[in-house]
Amino acid sequence: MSVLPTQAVVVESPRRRFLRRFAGPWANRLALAVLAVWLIAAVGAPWLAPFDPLAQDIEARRLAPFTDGHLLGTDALGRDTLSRLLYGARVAGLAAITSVGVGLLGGVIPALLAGLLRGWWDAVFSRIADALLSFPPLLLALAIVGVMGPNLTNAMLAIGVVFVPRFYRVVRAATLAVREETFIEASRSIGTPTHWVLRRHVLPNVLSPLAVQISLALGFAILAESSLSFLGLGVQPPDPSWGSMLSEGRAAWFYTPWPVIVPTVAVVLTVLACNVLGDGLSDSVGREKGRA
Amino acid sequence: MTTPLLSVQDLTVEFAVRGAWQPVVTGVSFDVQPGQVVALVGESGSGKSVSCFALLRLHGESGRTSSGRVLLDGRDLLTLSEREMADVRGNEIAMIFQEPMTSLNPAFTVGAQIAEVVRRHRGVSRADARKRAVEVLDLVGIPRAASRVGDYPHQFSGGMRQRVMIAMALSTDPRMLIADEPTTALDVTIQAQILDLVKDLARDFGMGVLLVTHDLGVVADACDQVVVMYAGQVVERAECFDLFARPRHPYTAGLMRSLPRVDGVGGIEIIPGTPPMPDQFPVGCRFSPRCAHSVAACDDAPIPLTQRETGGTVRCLRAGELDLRRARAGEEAPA
Amino acid sequence: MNAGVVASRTLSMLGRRLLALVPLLVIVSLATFSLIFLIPGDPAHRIAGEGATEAQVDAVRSDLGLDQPYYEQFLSFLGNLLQGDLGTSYTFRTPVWEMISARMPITVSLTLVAMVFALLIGIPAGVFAARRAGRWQDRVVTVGSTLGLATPNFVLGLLLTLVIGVKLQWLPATGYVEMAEGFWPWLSHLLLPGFALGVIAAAEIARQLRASLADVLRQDYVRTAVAKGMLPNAVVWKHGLKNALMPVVTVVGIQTGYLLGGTAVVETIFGIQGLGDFAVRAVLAGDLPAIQGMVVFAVIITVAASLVVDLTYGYLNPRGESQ
Repeated sequence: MSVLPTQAVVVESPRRRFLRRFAGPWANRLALAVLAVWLIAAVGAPWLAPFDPLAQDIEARRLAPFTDGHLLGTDALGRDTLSRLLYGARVAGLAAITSVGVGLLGGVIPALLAGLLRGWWDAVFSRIADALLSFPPLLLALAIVGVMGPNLTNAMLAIGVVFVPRFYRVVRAATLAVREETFIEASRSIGTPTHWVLRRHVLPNVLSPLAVQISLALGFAILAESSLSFLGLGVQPPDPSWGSMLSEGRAAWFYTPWPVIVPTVAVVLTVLACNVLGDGLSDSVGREKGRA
Repeated sequence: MTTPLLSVQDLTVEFAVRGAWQPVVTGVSFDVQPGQVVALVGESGSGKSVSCFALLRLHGESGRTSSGRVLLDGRDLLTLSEREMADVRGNEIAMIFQEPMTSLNPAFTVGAQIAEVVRRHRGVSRADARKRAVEVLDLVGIPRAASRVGDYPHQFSGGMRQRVMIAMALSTDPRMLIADEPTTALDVTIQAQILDLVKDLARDFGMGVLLVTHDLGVVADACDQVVVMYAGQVVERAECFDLFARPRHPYTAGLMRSLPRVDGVGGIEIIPGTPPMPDQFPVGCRFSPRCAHSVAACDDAPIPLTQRETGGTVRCLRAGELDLRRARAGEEAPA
Repeated sequence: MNAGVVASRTLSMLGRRLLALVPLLVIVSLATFSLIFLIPGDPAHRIAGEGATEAQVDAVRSDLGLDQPYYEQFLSFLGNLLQGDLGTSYTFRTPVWEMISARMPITVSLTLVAMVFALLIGIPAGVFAARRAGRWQDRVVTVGSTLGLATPNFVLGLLLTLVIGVKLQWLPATGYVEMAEGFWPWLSHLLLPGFALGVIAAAEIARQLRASLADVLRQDYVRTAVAKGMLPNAVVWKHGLKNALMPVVTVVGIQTGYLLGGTAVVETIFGIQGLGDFAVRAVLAGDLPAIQGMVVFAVIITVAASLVVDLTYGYLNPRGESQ
């Protein structure tokens, strides 16, 4: 009778397992790369842009790419598309980060309280969140911008408000799930103050689903900001934004498609990267979903 | 001898394991006569479920039958087109499964699910199909069948659901029923009822039944013929009473010894070890590593099937010399 | 389970949901009303216009009841709402409700065309991918739908109108024609915007359906259906789909609600004077009642859509449990 060979037991920390699962699919790595490029463009725009994004050049209107040093061509007013693209990346980044920040500010703490303490907190906050969720997202943003006045800051605030109930939902659900764990019960039974329990026990478990939501929200924020700017309700001309570039690009369409194509590709790629990132995070953190 | 209803000849089924096709079931042969209940017995992993799924070609992409024949009234099912096969399933051969809880579609009423089969294979009107549904529900002992026909599966208990499955299988008057561990998920008392039902139906309708089970108690109760499988092979095949009276394969004997006896004589013995995985099948006898009667010759080459003295077949080199009856205390000294 | 039981169960669910709506609607109207606080500076001044005299501004203020205490304003706002009065637009000088109902058929037409595209593309794509789960066809559909979801609907609309409408001139680039003036003119003007909106909804539908159906096809009862001799199409479309549709219904409900609220940018691009266009104009003009009216209307649509979704759940899931 043979004796079963002993197997080496490998213990992997959750962090390592997550990194391994996340870094595996090439799509995730590509998404991270795109987002890195975006980040570099956004942060480094003032140094990377070959031209002043606002400088008009009557002589150089509607140029095709790779003409006269304009790598991506120019628009109807002779402004360099690449420079405007880079500054547009900056605007998009600002909008995304600020609106997500607003959403987190308004959504996370109420959610933690509602999830952990239930009762009055939950009843009130959840009702408000439900009400906010029943507003169609873009319309809500439009309405807020409409009354506050069209500029980038108000647009970002408005989009942030859209995120508040969504982040609230996710964090509350995660908190509810965690609080069922016995170690929370144990901790509270010995009198640990609420804020300590929140910080040390609840928050780490809430971070993963929240991270997924944040990536998806970043994508949506870019979409929303470009929609608002397209309508003239976000970034005001002549400041560049991918949305306003699209709206202005229409004018040059008959002569050259590039002022439309360039921002289109930028928006789609960046939002795609955010979505893929969100999916990748969700797959790497959650239990293995059945993939046939 | 009458022509068998179903004749399985030398069936070999392969599964895709880590990119390569591995034979999981090798050279399985047995017959089922009309009105006869044949038991296919073995522990988990013996290949019994794989075999009966292969009869109806239910493996889809994950498995394939690489050789052998499955003759239904002389017609080889393995050579049929997919459409022809779909015409056989649920019609000439019906199958019921182990888990009645999940085997019925929760979104449709039981009446609708039964009527659907009838309409598929008989092309009758909705009204007639529904009538038939009520009829078979009544046949299997569902009380107030006429009103229950509009109920959903979740409104039935486990035992009742299995009856519904049987009713559904019967609704087209199949020549043969394959029952894959139909009572494993049910209470012991319900088990007896279901088995009696199957037995009666086989007798009353002349239906052949292939009953797959790991429970010898079920076998003794309900079956005419027994086919014992181990590690993908048939190791013994005999008439039921004869098998229990004198098993000729050490594995069969081992299975029987692991059942408690009514008269309490002798203890319960387990068979030490576990069955081999498909990619680790031994060259010689697959049971040899766990067999108390194993000799050197057992491991040399694949063991062929030989005739049993009292009818049937057995796959053991030492079948003629061993006396494996349980009444005897102690074992034969190795030759 | 007979029809009577199902009906009474549905009614009680409806009743409960409607009751739960009351606090929601109160909060919503409060929030909508509060928009007025976000207006920088004095709203009466903004409305009266740049060169208005002090007297004119005061007149505007008392006219619109802006000089009353806030809670009184809110109560009259709420009171009006309950009577179906959404206020009068500053810019158009017509009751908001009138404007909304005049533009509703336009947006409804667009929504209809869009959802038809969405279902015609999304459902077969989802089924196709689920049946070939894991293989390259599945990959293609998944990638396609991910791409679709990353594309802003207005970008797609813009490209379509510029390429097919302006450059190739295969379909009208802008405008809306009433159905009374002919079916094809009506339809041809809606094809491009409808497709732009519908394709993106289709992406979401295909994604959800693929996941849900792939899961369902692995279930035991699907194996039973095959063992019964049911043909592959019947197994997938009848047995599989009925169990897989619930998440899809949710998506369809949300999408429809969203579209009915008016898709601002797409309507603007295509020059369609629907509810979205109305919202944009209201916002550009700072027309508070119009904005408030649109918001309230959109909320009601969203809530109604989710009620319809819940009712459909009852049909798809007779167990009455939550999936």
